[in-house]
Amino acid sequence: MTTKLRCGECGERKFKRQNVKGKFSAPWRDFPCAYLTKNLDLLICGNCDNYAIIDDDADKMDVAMDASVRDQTSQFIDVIKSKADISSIKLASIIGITPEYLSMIYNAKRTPSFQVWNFLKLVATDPVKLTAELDPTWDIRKENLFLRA
Amino acid sequence: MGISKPKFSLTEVKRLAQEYLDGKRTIKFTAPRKSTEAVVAVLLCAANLANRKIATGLLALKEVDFHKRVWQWDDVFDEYGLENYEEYNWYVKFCIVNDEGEYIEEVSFHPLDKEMILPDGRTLSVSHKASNWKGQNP
Repeated sequence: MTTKLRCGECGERKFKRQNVKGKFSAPWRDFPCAYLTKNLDLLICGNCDNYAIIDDDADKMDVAMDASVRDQTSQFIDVIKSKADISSIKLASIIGITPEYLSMIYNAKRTPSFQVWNFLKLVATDPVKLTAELDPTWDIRKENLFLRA
Repeated sequence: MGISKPKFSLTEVKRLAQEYLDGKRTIKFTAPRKSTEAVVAVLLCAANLANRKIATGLLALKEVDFHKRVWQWDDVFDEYGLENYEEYNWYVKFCIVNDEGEYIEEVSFHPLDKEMILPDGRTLSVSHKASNWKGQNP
């Protein structure tokens, strides 16, 4: 469906509704750039790829972004657990959250902050190495990091 | 130099913005990278709340905040500088369109990225935190 709506970036009237799953990212809550992995129909400009938000698009975008972040978080934890031999308690302490909260974000019952999401994403890139190296009892003072040349 | 009077009456703009907040009318955000996304990036909120913040910002506009008229494409937009709203100074640009029903076409609502001098002599500066938007990455 096309509309007469004018694009705020290029001025053309070529908006058309499209599913942007897997092709859309935007700042969302404390995420500088959240990546959409769920279905969402948005008005996309056929001339410049800009998008528009009208009617209840913002609500739908929030729902889809929230579901995407929760799903990605769950997948990161799945990857870490399947590749590294690590308990939920140890993983939670590495990430800096409680085991209860880890369980909630694993089961997609809560949306993590960008900080937690990003840390899980990092650990998921190499679970075996990083869970071994990221010891939560590591003492920054003993390492004297600030005194290194 | 722009024309010194706005094209759209603020009373009308505020009526439409209030109707948006009441769920009776839409605002069409036709350049979300310069409006919704900018608000999300600095206030760290979801898109719906960002758009409501924009509508509330429109309600906070005063006639002395008007900067100039801007010709863009085949239309006239009113440009305002909104001072100290949610701890930022904002660049605001919109027009009222009457084709598929009457609505505000919101093109820009973002923290000022350069200094703005209003006709009454006030200088709105760029907030020191405003570098947060436009990609937001540190």
